Amino acid sequence: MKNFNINRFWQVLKWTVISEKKSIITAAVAFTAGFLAIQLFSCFTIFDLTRGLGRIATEAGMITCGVLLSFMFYYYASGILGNAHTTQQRTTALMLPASNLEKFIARIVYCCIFMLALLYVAAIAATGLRMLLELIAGHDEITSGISTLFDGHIHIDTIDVNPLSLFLYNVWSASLFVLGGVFFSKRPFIWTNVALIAGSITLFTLFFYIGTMIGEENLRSLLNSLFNGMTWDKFEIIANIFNAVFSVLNLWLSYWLYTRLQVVQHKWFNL
Amino acid sequence: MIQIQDLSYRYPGQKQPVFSGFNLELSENRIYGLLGKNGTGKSTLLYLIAGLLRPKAGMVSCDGIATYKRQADLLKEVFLVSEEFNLPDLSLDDYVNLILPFYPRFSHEMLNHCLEAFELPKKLQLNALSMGQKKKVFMSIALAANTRLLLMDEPTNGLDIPSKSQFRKVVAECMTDDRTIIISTHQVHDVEQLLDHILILTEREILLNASMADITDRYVFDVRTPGQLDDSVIYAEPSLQGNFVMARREAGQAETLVNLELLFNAVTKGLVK
Repeated sequence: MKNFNINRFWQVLKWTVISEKKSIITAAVAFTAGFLAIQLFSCFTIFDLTRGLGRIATEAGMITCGVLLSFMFYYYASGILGNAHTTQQRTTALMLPASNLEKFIARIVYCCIFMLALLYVAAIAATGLRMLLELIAGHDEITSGISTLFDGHIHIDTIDVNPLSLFLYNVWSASLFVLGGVFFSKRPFIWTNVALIAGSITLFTLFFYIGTMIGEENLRSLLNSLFNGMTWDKFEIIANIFNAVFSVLNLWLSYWLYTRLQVVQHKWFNL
Repeated sequence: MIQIQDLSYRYPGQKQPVFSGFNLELSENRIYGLLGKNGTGKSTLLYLIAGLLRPKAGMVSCDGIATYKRQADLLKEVFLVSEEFNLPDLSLDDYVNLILPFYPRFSHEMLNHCLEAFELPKKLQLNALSMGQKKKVFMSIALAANTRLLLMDEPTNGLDIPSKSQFRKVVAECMTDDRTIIISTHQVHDVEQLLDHILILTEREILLNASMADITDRYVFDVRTPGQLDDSVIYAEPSLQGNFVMARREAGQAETLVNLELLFNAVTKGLVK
């Protein structure tokens, strides 16, 4: 494909990572310190207060780390144009002799996969350090709790969300942040969140408006006809299809906006 | 090589267009000087040629390919030295190794030659350099990349006096038959001996599009006393040495060096068509 050359793509990826070397090192150090601080706070304060709760304290610390990790994952997904913030950066990025597709995929790989891996490495390093400090402090019950970060299952009551569904949901939500990152010129993470909240409110308002328009009875029978006989497995399949289709759509829209990127843009939107 | 047809462009959020129905054709193997007052669209034109801006209407193409598409095959033949640029926190060697795969005709020999001409060491750390040194390094890389089209926006801004003559020397030495260089500048004296074609831009149109050979053939530039200001004089500027004059060249009169400042003022005042 003329638009995609694998050798050139690797060069673009290498260029992307090496030119961000400084921020990668800063992020790695900051996240290791952050995850360590969370785990130490959780393990040392709770452990000292109520002896015998070491495992719970570790678990609580790891869950907090997991929340921070997810938050940062979406933050980085919205930083797809992080290397094209200023006019100079944009000039450098856009003038690099590679196709728009190669540059776009390289940014996706960097922001969504490389940075996610970096977050996990930082969490593992922090866990190792915390365990070492616990050993020095003489805690009896030292556990890593790291499996919390890698658990691909969610159990809610009798419902078991399978890893594929969870993966597709994460891809879909990341694709929304990628789209927001390409669309908004300033503070894309904040504006994407604002847009998602505004979108959700609009959808709910619309739903209630339709409900009042067609009447409560009609709405109930409509929902019954839609969800009657719906099992969790069926719902999961529908949700997976929705997530997959809309992920592709979001990424395609992001790429389309990326190809139209100019060195001088609108103040708020990359249009 | 570069064709601009019916180009219309305005910046996002602005009502006034920078270009409207603008046409221009640029050939290979020339060093173009792009001159114009502030805000006439010199940098915008360079960005449009580089594909960094998308025309609202019309077309900017290089060898028949629309530049706004930013195709990889085209980008490897274009290098833009913008007025302000980014260099990563790397050593020069690492940076060159990083960009080398993207420019198939990159010449280490030319890079070393340029660095030597600019009196810079070959081993250096990019973030430890002053702004002027960074510019010299970036220009050396741009010339060594050996692209067919080299765009330079205010290349002599921030350079000290010896560096300006070094710049002229380096560019002249690196000029090859298949290369086109477009230099946009206000510092006309820094580049006037280097250019072989002049483009003077005003709001929305090209006021002058002429080769240096054509200009020296038609006009003379010299210093005259008030008594020597005859009908041949097109434009004169008084100075302590007398009057700097741009005049029509009479038959048999010797060619003179072009004074770009006089030419620019004469053209923008509408005295030269």
